[in-house]
Amino acid sequence: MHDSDSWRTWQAFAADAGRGHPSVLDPIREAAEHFDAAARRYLEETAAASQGTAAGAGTAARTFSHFLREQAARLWPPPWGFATVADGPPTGSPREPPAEPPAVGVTREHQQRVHRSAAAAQRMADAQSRLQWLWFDTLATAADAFSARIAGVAGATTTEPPTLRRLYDTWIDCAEAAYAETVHGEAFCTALADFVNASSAWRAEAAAGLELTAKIWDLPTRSELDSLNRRLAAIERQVRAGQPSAKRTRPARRGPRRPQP
Amino acid sequence: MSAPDLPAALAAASGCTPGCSPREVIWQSGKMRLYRYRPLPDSGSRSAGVPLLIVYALVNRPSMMDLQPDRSLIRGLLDEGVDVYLIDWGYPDGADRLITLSDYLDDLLNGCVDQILRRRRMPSLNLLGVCQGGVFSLCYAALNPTRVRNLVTMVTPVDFHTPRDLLSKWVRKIDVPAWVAGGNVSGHALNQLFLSLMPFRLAHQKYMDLYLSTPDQHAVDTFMRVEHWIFDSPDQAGAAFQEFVIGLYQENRLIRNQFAIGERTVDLRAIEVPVLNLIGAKDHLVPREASLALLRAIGSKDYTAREFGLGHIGMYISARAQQEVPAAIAQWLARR
Repeated sequence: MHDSDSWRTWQAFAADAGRGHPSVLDPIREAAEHFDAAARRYLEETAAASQGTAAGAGTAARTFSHFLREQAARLWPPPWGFATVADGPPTGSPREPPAEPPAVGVTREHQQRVHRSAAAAQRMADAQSRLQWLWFDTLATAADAFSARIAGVAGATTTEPPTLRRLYDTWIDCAEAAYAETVHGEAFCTALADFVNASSAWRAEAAAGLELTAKIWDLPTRSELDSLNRRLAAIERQVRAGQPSAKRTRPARRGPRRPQP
Repeated sequence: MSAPDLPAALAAASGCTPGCSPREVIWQSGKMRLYRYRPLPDSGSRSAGVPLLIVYALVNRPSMMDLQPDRSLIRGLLDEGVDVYLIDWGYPDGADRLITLSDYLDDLLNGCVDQILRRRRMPSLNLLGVCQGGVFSLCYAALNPTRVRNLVTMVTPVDFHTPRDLLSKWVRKIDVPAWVAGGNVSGHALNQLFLSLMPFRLAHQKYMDLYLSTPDQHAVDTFMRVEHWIFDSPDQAGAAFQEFVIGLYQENRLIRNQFAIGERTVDLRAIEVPVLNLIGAKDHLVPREASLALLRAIGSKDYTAREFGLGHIGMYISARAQQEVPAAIAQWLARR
């Protein structure tokens, strides 16, 4: 798996480099040590399986795959800084938002907006974590199905183009089947809706903040434009309602074409 | 064509855009245009029959109906002597965010029907509704029964809560007013949503198939026209989008005769004109059960369903569709 001398060299380097700034390399060191332990365990279990003394290489692969999935889910925390992965797969129930501090003083409204934004961001992170778990489970299921379908297929290990094409098409079939099973399920639909709803709430708070800034600078705001638009639409509808249907013709005019990127 | 020649072929095809049959604008209102397709030279007096108005969806562009000369449902209808009209809804912008379904149907669609009936001096016309346009056509026919002579629906959902309807499941718990937030819904976002229905096939295998099939330039041109259409998605007017998603995808009101257009409720049982329902048996966007539900919903005694072993887009542009669908429509209309 890796050169034990190189590993010991890395450990010595990490221990020495982290002496002055322990917080900088600790996460990296911990991740590397966890990975090393999991990889060693996988190799030992696989070797034992080949000697008929353990549950099997499949179990070892599953265990290592679960470890990799956990690590991958931790790799991409959202920019708003909330942790995304609890211990093990998410249960589907979002975590409780941080306790709301009392909003007092002249900036009370803004304090409340910041808290609502933070709460929405946390709900987004929770939902994203659930979606990531479901995605990894889907890929694992697809891989299992693919392995089962090609097992015993004559010539499956050759690299001839027709064989590669069949293998690719088989992978696509397995992947789409696993994906369909996941995305039709209640867990995915709930997580997706939670993510969309939380992002809508976060965007609404951001828009409210931008609108306040625009008002401060006396710039036109979306609310003002919408208000004008509603009045105009109501007037247009009243005019159309007053016209006979046979004569309900507007003067020909060109509408704007789709804006070019 | 060998694989190394493919990049050059794709570059040569980058300017290919859908749309090939000559047409003229006969009415405009805002961003909407009503087109009439010029009859083919040899169609003679056949095009003097009852006009056919094609009502396409708001999502995506109607150019898919007329992709290129050998992949054009409209060209096929013109070949059969049908007098073809088409509504192009245009590209909504921020000023259109308050447009409602009533504006689309009672004002724009009804205005198009007015124009055609006045131009042809006829009391009623034939409607061909495609996908969401089929829903609009059903609503219009139910609310204006005297203005529709025959109704054709194509890959049109009627029951939005069938087990295989993935879009319906996804949006069921979404707070749509908060999502739309009074604005338009991005066409790019909808593109991503549709690709997410079958991501491995639509975002990967499709391109591998092109690469491995060693296509000729014509096949590459066709591919690029379809690509152009797929990603040419208009934004959706927020108010109309909200009505459609909540009323249909979430609450499934159409099949229960509870869907409202403006202040009027659509009762599909009021549709008593002949109906031809074209269904794609392999449609992943509109499951066949969602379309087949039309039979039990309408009041018409002259109902015909035709299923084709095609997907949603295949119903418009596949070689088999070119051979079968226009003729099926024209022959059915000719007998009525």
